Amino acid sequence: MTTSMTDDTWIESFTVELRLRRVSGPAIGDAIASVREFIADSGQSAEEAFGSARDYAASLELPTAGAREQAIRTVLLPVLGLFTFLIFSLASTARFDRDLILVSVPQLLVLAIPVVLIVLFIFPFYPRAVVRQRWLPAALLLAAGISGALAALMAPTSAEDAWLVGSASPLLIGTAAILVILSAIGTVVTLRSHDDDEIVAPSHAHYDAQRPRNGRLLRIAVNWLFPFMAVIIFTMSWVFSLVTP
Amino acid sequence: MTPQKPHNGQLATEWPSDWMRAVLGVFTLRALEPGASYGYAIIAELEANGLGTVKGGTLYPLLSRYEASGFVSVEWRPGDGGPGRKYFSLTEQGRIELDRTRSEWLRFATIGSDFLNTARTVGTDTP
Repeated sequence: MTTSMTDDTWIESFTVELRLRRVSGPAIGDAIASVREFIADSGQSAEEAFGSARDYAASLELPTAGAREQAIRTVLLPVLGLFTFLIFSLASTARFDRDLILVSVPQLLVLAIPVVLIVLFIFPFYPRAVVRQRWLPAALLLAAGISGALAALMAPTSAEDAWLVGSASPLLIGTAAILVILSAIGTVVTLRSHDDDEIVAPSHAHYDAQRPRNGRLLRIAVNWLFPFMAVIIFTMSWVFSLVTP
Repeated sequence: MTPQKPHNGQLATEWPSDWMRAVLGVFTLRALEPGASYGYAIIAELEANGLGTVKGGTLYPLLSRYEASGFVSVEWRPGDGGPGRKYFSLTEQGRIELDRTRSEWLRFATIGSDFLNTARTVGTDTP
Protein backbone atom coordinates (compact mmCIF):
# COMPACT_ATOMS: atom_id res chain seq x y z
CA MET A 1 0.00 0.00 0.00
CA THR A 2 1.53 3.31 -1.00
CA THR A 3 -0.81 5.81 0.63
CA SER A 4 -0.28 6.47 4.31
CA MET A 5 -3.30 5.74 6.40
CA THR A 6 -4.56 6.99 9.73
CA ASP A 7 -4.20 4.71 12.74
CA ASP A 8 -7.95 4.14 12.84
CA THR A 9 -8.02 2.99 9.22
CA TRP A 10 -5.02 0.76 9.87
CA ILE A 11 -6.68 -0.80 12.93
CA GLU A 12 -9.87 -1.25 10.93
CA SER A 13 -8.12 -3.21 8.18
CA PHE A 14 -6.11 -5.10 10.81
CA THR A 15 -9.44 -6.16 12.39
CA VAL A 16 -10.76 -7.28 9.00
CA GLU A 17 -7.59 -9.28 8.34
CA LEU A 18 -7.85 -11.04 11.72
CA ARG A 19 -11.54 -11.70 11.07
CA LEU A 20 -10.66 -13.23 7.71
CA ARG A 21 -8.19 -15.48 9.49
CA ARG A 22 -11.07 -16.46 11.82
CA VAL A 23 -9.38 -15.31 14.98
CA SER A 24 -11.74 -15.23 17.98
CA GLY A 25 -13.23 -11.91 19.13
CA PRO A 26 -11.36 -11.68 22.46
CA ALA A 27 -8.02 -12.43 20.73
CA ILE A 28 -8.73 -9.65 18.19
CA GLY A 29 -9.58 -7.28 21.06
CA ASP A 30 -6.29 -8.15 22.74
CA ALA A 31 -4.24 -7.62 19.55
CA ILE A 32 -5.90 -4.23 18.90
CA ALA A 33 -5.30 -3.11 22.50
CA SER A 34 -1.61 -4.03 22.13
CA VAL A 35 -1.37 -1.94 18.95
CA ARG A 36 -3.03 1.03 20.67
CA GLU A 37 -0.73 0.64 23.70
CA PHE A 38 2.38 0.55 21.54
CA ILE A 39 1.54 3.52 19.31
CA ALA A 40 0.61 5.55 22.40
CA ASP A 41 3.94 4.64 24.05
CA SER A 42 6.20 5.05 21.02
CA GLY A 43 4.51 7.98 19.28
CA GLN A 44 4.85 6.09 15.99
CA SER A 45 1.99 5.55 13.57
CA ALA A 46 0.52 2.06 13.43
CA GLU A 47 1.88 1.58 9.92
CA GLU A 48 5.38 2.73 10.93
CA ALA A 49 5.48 0.42 13.92
CA PHE A 50 3.78 -2.65 12.51
CA GLY A 51 4.05 -2.42 8.72
CA SER A 52 1.13 -3.57 6.59
CA ALA A 53 -1.97 -4.65 8.53
CA ARG A 54 -2.26 -7.80 6.45
CA ASP A 55 1.32 -8.98 7.02
CA TYR A 56 1.19 -8.13 10.71
CA ALA A 57 -2.11 -10.02 11.17
CA ALA A 58 -0.50 -13.05 9.49
CA SER A 59 2.73 -12.81 11.53
CA LEU A 60 0.89 -12.93 14.87
CA GLU A 61 -0.19 -16.53 14.15
CA LEU A 62 -3.12 -16.23 16.56
CA PRO A 63 -5.16 -19.38 17.21
CA THR A 64 -8.20 -19.70 15.00
CA ALA A 65 -11.20 -21.03 16.85
CA GLY A 66 -13.92 -23.14 15.25
CA ALA A 67 -13.07 -22.18 11.67
CA ARG A 68 -15.54 -24.60 10.16
CA GLU A 69 -18.40 -23.64 12.49
CA GLN A 70 -17.83 -19.99 11.76
CA ALA A 71 -17.82 -20.60 8.00
CA ILE A 72 -21.08 -22.53 8.30
CA ARG A 73 -22.76 -19.86 10.39
CA THR A 74 -21.63 -16.74 8.58
CA VAL A 75 -21.64 -17.85 4.95
CA LEU A 76 -22.97 -21.30 4.15
CA LEU A 77 -26.23 -21.23 6.15
CA PRO A 78 -27.46 -17.80 4.97
CA VAL A 79 -26.67 -18.53 1.32
CA LEU A 80 -28.24 -22.00 1.47
CA GLY A 81 -31.24 -20.51 3.31
CA LEU A 82 -31.72 -17.85 0.65
CA PHE A 83 -31.58 -20.41 -2.16
CA THR A 84 -34.08 -22.74 -0.44
CA PHE A 85 -36.30 -19.77 0.30
CA LEU A 86 -36.33 -18.78 -3.40
CA ILE A 87 -37.38 -22.32 -4.41
CA PHE A 88 -40.02 -22.27 -1.69
CA SER A 89 -41.39 -18.97 -3.05
CA LEU A 90 -41.57 -20.41 -6.61
CA ALA A 91 -43.23 -23.57 -5.33
CA SER A 92 -45.75 -21.68 -3.25
CA THR A 93 -46.78 -19.58 -6.28
CA ALA A 94 -47.08 -22.77 -8.35
CA ARG A 95 -49.05 -24.47 -5.58
CA PHE A 96 -51.90 -22.01 -5.91
CA ASP A 97 -51.65 -21.83 -9.72
CA ARG A 98 -51.92 -25.36 -11.16
CA ASP A 99 -49.99 -27.19 -8.47
CA LEU A 100 -47.57 -28.23 -11.21
CA ILE A 101 -43.83 -27.82 -11.42
CA LEU A 102 -42.37 -28.41 -14.91
CA VAL A 103 -38.60 -28.75 -15.22
CA SER A 104 -36.40 -29.32 -18.32
CA VAL A 105 -32.79 -30.58 -18.41
CA PRO A 106 -31.17 -27.28 -19.55
CA GLN A 107 -33.14 -25.53 -16.84
CA LEU A 108 -31.75 -27.89 -14.22
CA LEU A 109 -28.20 -27.36 -15.53
CA VAL A 110 -28.55 -23.59 -15.34
CA LEU A 111 -29.98 -23.87 -11.82
CA ALA A 112 -27.03 -26.07 -10.84
CA ILE A 113 -24.64 -23.09 -11.26
CA PRO A 114 -25.70 -21.29 -8.05
CA VAL A 115 -25.83 -24.64 -6.25
CA VAL A 116 -22.17 -25.33 -7.16
CA LEU A 117 -21.23 -21.78 -6.14
CA ILE A 118 -22.90 -22.39 -2.76
CA VAL A 119 -21.31 -25.80 -2.20
CA LEU A 120 -17.86 -24.21 -2.77
CA PHE A 121 -18.34 -22.33 0.51
CA ILE A 122 -17.44 -25.55 2.33
CA PHE A 123 -13.79 -24.92 1.38
CA PRO A 124 -12.23 -22.26 3.60
CA PHE A 125 -10.30 -20.52 0.79
CA TYR A 126 -13.50 -19.63 -1.03
CA PRO A 127 -15.37 -17.47 1.53
CA ARG A 128 -12.03 -15.75 2.28
CA ALA A 129 -11.59 -14.89 -1.40
CA VAL A 130 -15.21 -13.75 -1.63
CA VAL A 131 -14.74 -11.28 1.22
CA ARG A 132 -11.30 -10.10 0.09
CA GLN A 133 -12.12 -9.44 -3.57
CA ARG A 134 -14.78 -6.77 -3.56
CA TRP A 135 -16.11 -7.62 -7.02
CA LEU A 136 -16.60 -11.31 -6.19
CA PRO A 137 -19.76 -11.07 -4.06
CA ALA A 138 -21.35 -8.91 -6.77
CA ALA A 139 -20.26 -11.40 -9.45
CA LEU A 140 -21.73 -14.26 -7.38
CA LEU A 141 -25.01 -12.49 -6.91
CA LEU A 142 -25.12 -11.66 -10.62
CA ALA A 143 -24.39 -15.28 -11.55
CA ALA A 144 -27.18 -16.50 -9.27
CA GLY A 145 -29.57 -13.87 -10.64
CA ILE A 146 -28.77 -14.59 -14.30
CA SER A 147 -29.09 -18.35 -13.82
CA GLY A 148 -32.43 -17.83 -12.09
CA ALA A 149 -33.71 -15.62 -14.91
CA LEU A 150 -32.41 -18.03 -17.60
CA ALA A 151 -34.05 -20.94 -15.82
CA ALA A 152 -37.34 -19.06 -15.78
CA LEU A 153 -37.03 -18.36 -19.54
CA MET A 154 -36.28 -22.02 -20.22
CA ALA A 155 -39.30 -23.20 -18.27
CA PRO A 156 -41.29 -25.71 -20.36
CA THR A 157 -44.76 -24.54 -21.26
CA SER A 158 -46.39 -27.95 -21.40
CA ALA A 159 -45.91 -31.23 -19.62
CA GLU A 160 -44.72 -32.90 -22.86
CA ASP A 161 -41.64 -30.64 -23.10
CA ALA A 162 -40.72 -31.17 -19.48
CA TRP A 163 -38.20 -33.69 -18.26
CA LEU A 164 -39.62 -33.65 -14.78
CA VAL A 165 -43.26 -33.03 -13.99
CA GLY A 166 -44.10 -32.81 -10.36
CA SER A 167 -46.63 -31.59 -7.96
CA ALA A 168 -45.68 -28.35 -6.23
CA SER A 169 -46.87 -29.56 -2.83
CA PRO A 170 -44.00 -32.01 -2.03
CA LEU A 171 -41.46 -29.39 -3.11
CA LEU A 172 -43.23 -26.86 -0.93
CA ILE A 173 -43.18 -29.16 2.09
CA GLY A 174 -39.61 -30.29 1.37
CA THR A 175 -38.19 -26.77 1.12
CA ALA A 176 -40.15 -25.68 4.21
CA ALA A 177 -38.63 -28.59 6.12
CA ILE A 178 -35.12 -27.68 4.88
CA LEU A 179 -35.65 -24.06 6.00
CA VAL A 180 -36.62 -25.21 9.50
CA ILE A 181 -33.67 -27.64 9.67
CA LEU A 182 -31.22 -24.92 8.52
CA SER A 183 -32.60 -22.55 11.18
CA ALA A 184 -32.28 -25.24 13.84
CA ILE A 185 -28.64 -25.89 12.82
CA GLY A 186 -27.99 -22.14 12.85
CA THR A 187 -29.48 -21.87 16.37
CA VAL A 188 -27.33 -24.73 17.67
CA VAL A 189 -24.19 -23.22 16.14
CA THR A 190 -25.07 -19.80 17.61
CA LEU A 191 -25.65 -21.30 21.07
CA ARG A 192 -22.39 -23.21 20.93
CA SER A 193 -20.33 -20.21 19.84
CA HIS A 194 -20.16 -18.80 23.44
CA ASP A 195 -20.39 -15.22 22.14
CA ASP A 196 -16.88 -15.65 20.82
CA ASP A 197 -17.51 -13.27 17.94
CA GLU A 198 -17.68 -10.09 19.91
CA ILE A 199 -14.48 -8.03 20.01
CA VAL A 200 -13.87 -7.22 23.67
CA ALA A 201 -11.15 -5.10 25.21
CA PRO A 202 -8.83 -7.31 27.30
CA SER A 203 -9.65 -5.53 30.55
CA HIS A 204 -13.34 -6.39 30.12
CA ALA A 205 -12.78 -9.99 29.06
CA HIS A 206 -13.59 -11.44 32.47
CA TYR A 207 -16.92 -9.62 32.79
CA ASP A 208 -18.42 -11.97 30.18
CA ALA A 209 -21.10 -13.29 32.49
CA GLN A 210 -22.50 -9.83 33.13
CA ARG A 211 -22.93 -8.87 29.51
CA PRO A 212 -26.55 -8.46 28.37
CA ARG A 213 -28.05 -11.42 26.55
CA ASN A 214 -30.02 -9.23 24.09
CA GLY A 215 -27.38 -9.53 21.39
CA ARG A 216 -27.50 -13.29 21.63
CA LEU A 217 -31.32 -13.44 21.47
CA LEU A 218 -31.20 -11.25 18.38
CA ARG A 219 -28.65 -13.55 16.73
CA ILE A 220 -30.85 -16.58 17.46
CA ALA A 221 -33.86 -14.72 16.01
CA VAL A 222 -31.88 -13.93 12.83
CA ASN A 223 -31.56 -17.69 12.27
CA TRP A 224 -35.34 -17.92 11.94
CA LEU A 225 -35.68 -15.11 9.40
CA PHE A 226 -36.19 -17.34 6.36
CA PRO A 227 -38.93 -19.57 7.88
CA PHE A 228 -40.66 -16.38 9.04
CA MET A 229 -40.48 -14.87 5.52
CA ALA A 230 -41.62 -18.19 4.04
CA VAL A 231 -44.80 -18.05 6.14
CA ILE A 232 -45.44 -14.51 4.85
CA ILE A 233 -44.85 -15.52 1.21
CA PHE A 234 -47.10 -18.57 1.56
CA THR A 235 -49.89 -16.52 3.14
CA MET A 236 -49.54 -13.86 0.43
CA SER A 237 -49.73 -16.45 -2.38
CA TRP A 238 -52.76 -18.00 -0.73
CA VAL A 239 -54.57 -14.68 -0.25
CA PHE A 240 -53.67 -13.69 -3.82
CA SER A 241 -55.14 -16.97 -5.17
CA LEU A 242 -58.37 -16.27 -3.25
CA VAL A 243 -58.86 -12.77 -4.64
CA THR A 244 -58.01 -13.67 -8.27
CA PRO A 245 -60.66 -15.76 -9.98
CA MET B 1 10.45 -1.09 34.72
CA THR B 2 10.90 2.31 33.14
CA PRO B 3 12.15 2.57 29.56
CA GLN B 4 15.77 3.64 29.40
CA LYS B 5 16.79 6.12 26.74
CA PRO B 6 19.91 5.48 24.68
CA HIS B 7 23.09 6.99 26.16
CA ASN B 8 23.48 10.65 25.27
CA GLY B 9 25.56 11.41 22.22
CA GLN B 10 25.78 7.75 21.29
CA LEU B 11 23.65 6.71 18.33
CA ALA B 12 21.92 3.37 18.70
CA THR B 13 23.71 0.86 16.49
CA GLU B 14 21.71 -0.82 13.73
CA TRP B 15 22.74 -4.43 13.33
CA PRO B 16 22.07 -6.53 10.21
CA SER B 17 18.44 -7.62 10.37
CA ASP B 18 19.22 -11.33 9.88
CA TRP B 19 21.56 -11.25 12.89
CA MET B 20 18.81 -9.63 14.94
CA ARG B 21 16.26 -12.18 13.75
CA ALA B 22 18.47 -14.95 15.08
CA VAL B 23 19.05 -13.54 18.55
CA LEU B 24 15.98 -11.40 19.24
CA GLY B 25 14.32 -14.32 21.02
CA VAL B 26 17.02 -14.77 23.64
CA PHE B 27 17.45 -10.98 23.95
CA THR B 28 13.74 -10.60 24.64
CA LEU B 29 13.75 -13.32 27.28
CA ARG B 30 16.80 -11.64 28.83
CA ALA B 31 14.98 -8.29 28.89
CA LEU B 32 12.21 -9.96 30.89
CA GLU B 33 14.62 -11.64 33.34
CA PRO B 34 14.57 -8.85 35.97
CA GLY B 35 10.76 -8.74 35.98
CA ALA B 36 7.55 -8.16 34.00
CA SER B 37 7.69 -5.59 31.22
CA TYR B 38 5.62 -4.32 28.27
CA GLY B 39 6.21 -3.95 24.52
CA TYR B 40 7.70 -0.47 24.28
CA ALA B 41 9.80 -0.87 27.46
CA ILE B 42 11.38 -4.07 26.07
CA ILE B 43 12.29 -2.27 22.84
CA ALA B 44 13.68 0.71 24.78
CA GLU B 45 15.73 -1.65 26.97
CA LEU B 46 17.30 -3.36 23.94
CA GLU B 47 17.99 0.02 22.35
CA ALA B 48 19.58 1.36 25.53
CA ASN B 49 21.94 -1.62 25.52
CA GLY B 50 23.16 -0.84 22.01
CA LEU B 51 21.21 -3.62 20.30
CA GLY B 52 19.48 -1.37 17.78
CA THR B 53 15.86 -0.43 17.33
CA VAL B 54 13.41 -3.30 17.07
CA LYS B 55 10.04 -2.61 15.48
CA GLY B 56 6.77 -3.34 17.27
CA GLY B 57 5.81 -5.43 14.26
CA THR B 58 8.82 -7.68 14.94
CA LEU B 59 8.59 -7.92 18.73
CA TYR B 60 4.88 -8.61 19.21
CA PRO B 61 4.68 -11.68 16.92
CA LEU B 62 7.64 -13.11 18.85
CA LEU B 63 5.95 -12.43 22.20
CA SER B 64 2.74 -13.93 20.84
CA ARG B 65 4.63 -17.12 19.90
CA TYR B 66 6.32 -17.22 23.31
CA GLU B 67 2.94 -16.80 24.98
CA ALA B 68 1.60 -19.74 22.94
CA SER B 69 4.60 -21.91 23.86
CA GLY B 70 4.31 -21.01 27.54
CA PHE B 71 7.61 -19.09 27.87
CA VAL B 72 5.85 -15.91 28.97
CA SER B 73 2.61 -15.19 30.79
CA VAL B 74 0.63 -12.00 30.22
CA GLU B 75 -1.34 -9.63 32.38
CA TRP B 76 -3.21 -6.49 31.40
CA ARG B 77 -2.64 -3.64 33.81
CA PRO B 78 -4.87 -0.54 33.61
CA GLY B 79 -3.19 2.65 32.34
CA ASP B 80 -3.95 6.21 33.39
CA GLY B 81 -6.94 6.77 31.13
CA GLY B 82 -5.02 5.13 28.29
CA PRO B 83 -5.58 1.71 26.74
CA GLY B 84 -3.74 -0.08 29.57
CA ARG B 85 -0.61 -2.14 29.14
CA LYS B 86 0.01 -5.79 28.45
CA TYR B 87 2.77 -6.97 30.77
CA PHE B 88 4.81 -10.01 29.86
CA SER B 89 6.68 -12.03 32.47
CA LEU B 90 8.88 -15.11 32.26
CA THR B 91 7.38 -18.40 33.29
CA GLU B 92 9.48 -21.18 34.77
CA GLN B 93 9.63 -22.71 31.31
CA GLY B 94 10.73 -19.34 29.91
CA ARG B 95 13.59 -19.17 32.43
CA ILE B 96 14.77 -22.63 31.43
CA GLU B 97 14.62 -21.60 27.76
CA LEU B 98 16.56 -18.40 28.53
CA ASP B 99 19.29 -20.34 30.37
CA ARG B 100 19.52 -22.89 27.57
CA THR B 101 19.69 -20.39 24.68
CA ARG B 102 22.00 -18.06 26.60
CA SER B 103 24.63 -20.73 27.23
CA GLU B 104 24.28 -22.03 23.66
CA TRP B 105 24.72 -18.55 22.27
CA LEU B 106 27.72 -17.77 24.43
CA ARG B 107 29.38 -21.04 23.39
CA PHE B 108 28.66 -20.26 19.72
CA ALA B 109 29.96 -16.69 20.07
CA THR B 110 33.20 -17.91 21.69
CA ILE B 111 33.82 -20.57 19.05
CA GLY B 112 32.90 -18.09 16.29
CA SER B 113 35.25 -15.43 17.66
CA ASP B 114 38.09 -17.93 17.98
CA PHE B 115 37.57 -19.00 14.40
CA LEU B 116 37.43 -15.44 13.10
CA ASN B 117 40.64 -14.54 14.91
CA THR B 118 42.63 -17.64 13.92
CA ALA B 119 41.39 -17.67 10.30
CA ARG B 120 43.64 -14.73 9.45
CA THR B 121 46.90 -16.55 10.27
CA VAL B 122 45.83 -19.70 8.39
CA GLY B 123 45.01 -17.70 5.24
CA THR B 124 48.60 -16.40 4.82
CA ASP B 125 49.83 -19.81 3.53
CA THR B 126 48.04 -19.51 0.16
CA PRO B 127 50.43 -18.65 -2.69
